[in-house]
Amino acid sequence: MSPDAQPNAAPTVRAAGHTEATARERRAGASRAAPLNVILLLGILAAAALSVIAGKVWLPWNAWMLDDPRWLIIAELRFPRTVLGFSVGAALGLAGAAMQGYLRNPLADPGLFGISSGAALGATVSLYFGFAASALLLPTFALLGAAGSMLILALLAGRSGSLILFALAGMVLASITGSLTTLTISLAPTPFIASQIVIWLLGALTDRSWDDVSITVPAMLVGAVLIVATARSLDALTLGEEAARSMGIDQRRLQWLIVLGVGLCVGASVAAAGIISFVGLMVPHMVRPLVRGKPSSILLPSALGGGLLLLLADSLVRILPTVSELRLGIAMSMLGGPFFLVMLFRMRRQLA
Amino acid sequence: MSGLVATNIRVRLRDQLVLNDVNVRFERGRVTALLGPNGAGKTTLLSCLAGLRVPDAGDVRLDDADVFALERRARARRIGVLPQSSEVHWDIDVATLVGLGRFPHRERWGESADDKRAVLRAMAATDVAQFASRSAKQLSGGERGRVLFARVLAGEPEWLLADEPLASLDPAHQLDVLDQLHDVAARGAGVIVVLHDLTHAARVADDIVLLRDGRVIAHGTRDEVMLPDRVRDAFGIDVHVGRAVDGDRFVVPLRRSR
Repeated sequence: MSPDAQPNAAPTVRAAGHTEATARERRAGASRAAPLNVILLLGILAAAALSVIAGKVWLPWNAWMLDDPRWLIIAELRFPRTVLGFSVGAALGLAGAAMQGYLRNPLADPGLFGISSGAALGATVSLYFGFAASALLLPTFALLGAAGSMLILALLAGRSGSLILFALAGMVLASITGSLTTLTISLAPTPFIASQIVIWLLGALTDRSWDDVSITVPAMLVGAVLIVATARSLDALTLGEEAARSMGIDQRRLQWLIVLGVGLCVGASVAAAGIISFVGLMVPHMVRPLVRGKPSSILLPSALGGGLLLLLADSLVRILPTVSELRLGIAMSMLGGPFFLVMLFRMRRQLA
Repeated sequence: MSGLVATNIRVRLRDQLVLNDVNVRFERGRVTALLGPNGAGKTTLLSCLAGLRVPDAGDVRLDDADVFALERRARARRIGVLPQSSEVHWDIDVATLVGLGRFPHRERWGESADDKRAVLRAMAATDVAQFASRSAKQLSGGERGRVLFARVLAGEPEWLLADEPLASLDPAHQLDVLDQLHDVAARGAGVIVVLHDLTHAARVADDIVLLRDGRVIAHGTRDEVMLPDRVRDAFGIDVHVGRAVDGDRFVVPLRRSR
């Protein structure tokens, strides 16, 4: 017999009095994310339009004719760039929200796992061998690098399901792949290749084509599906590992889903745009106080927010009157660093 | 054999035997207190019984079914666990937190009417309904303890395994939690609770299991176990066991026994 089969008289009366208020509160909690998502979506539409129009060549609406020569710029350069800008931002925001939920640490960043540096190593190697000429090879190598990192992570930590081992393995992996990347740069056959690698690592969405989209976006989509599958387990982890396990969470399955989901999202993002930092760290933070919810209700707004942020940032670097286009990765770090400092100052005041 | 039964359980942690051939059977409808000094193996035994830790030897059966072979969520629906730690990591409101207790019952999308009712009942029973919309971060230690207890109740388990649920509660709320444990058992569930306070154990528990150094040294009704000799064997202290006005026993620790 279940313990609540017979309602005990007194508390039930009291519960009835609270039923309405509580139901209202709960609805409020559930719907807190909805308006935010709508606003973010509208913002994304506007930012996407801006991203297509803006650049060294401005493309007003009257350029949108198939027989207009500028249509080629729109169809072959601007559209893929807009799609990638949104996808990369969304993938990073989503991966960041999942990582923070999984590690139960608001300072966790998808870069922590060594997956993005693995992807960077893959891309670096392909540039080293001069494969940059082919649009398909560089992202493929980057994805392979990410996959290598994921495999090592999974072999190292995947069996135990232990969080600490997992985080440590990720950090060690990040430093190893990072040093291998530096090694590759220092061994570069020509100074040109070395500078090509360094510039690529700075992260950008310049001159991307539909080829880049067709390789990286499906990987991000698969990653996103895997991350969404972890949503409820992440909620249960709010009460700690032990409680989550007692509620029926399969820790190992969760860890696999996180490794693969975050790995695909982050790996594909690096493959598409190089290393773009701070999105995965910042966006969930900006969203969390607005939603004030479980980790699962932060996933969607984080993805939308990440997409919006990157669309805006990428439009901005094209609009800024710099001689050569400011690299997106640099722009994000310049935005993200100060943001993070301000956040820390605020947290300090809260904690004091 | 019905009930929750541990047979020849042995757990080794590094070089130490944390549980050494533990045989113990728990029944539904009763509150059983697990007592013993620090390091006696109470928490380890609890997590073996909950199916969360596979012992190195021996088995745990729930109504003759191997606990470790049960499907995770099915097991979680039947055995609710209130862990010792009271961590709450994100800024979620109390109703959402209690709702997490429905996790093993929930279908993929949304919560059912049953879920909502169970959550409301649990919040009412633990007297936390009035701060349903408050943030879990703004609760006092005692309030948080009650909210976490409500989380387990919301799962409506057949077995409730609680690891020191009285820690950080004031005396009034300690009594409340003990009453709730008693109510849960009275409604037919089996309750196994790790306690440190001997008087609380003597008052709330129907049965008492005494553990020392990974072994069960006594198991019986509270009248059989709550005796000065037994307590001295388990804890190495001399106690005075008296009768309160209501007839229940109370226990006063006097000194370490020589």
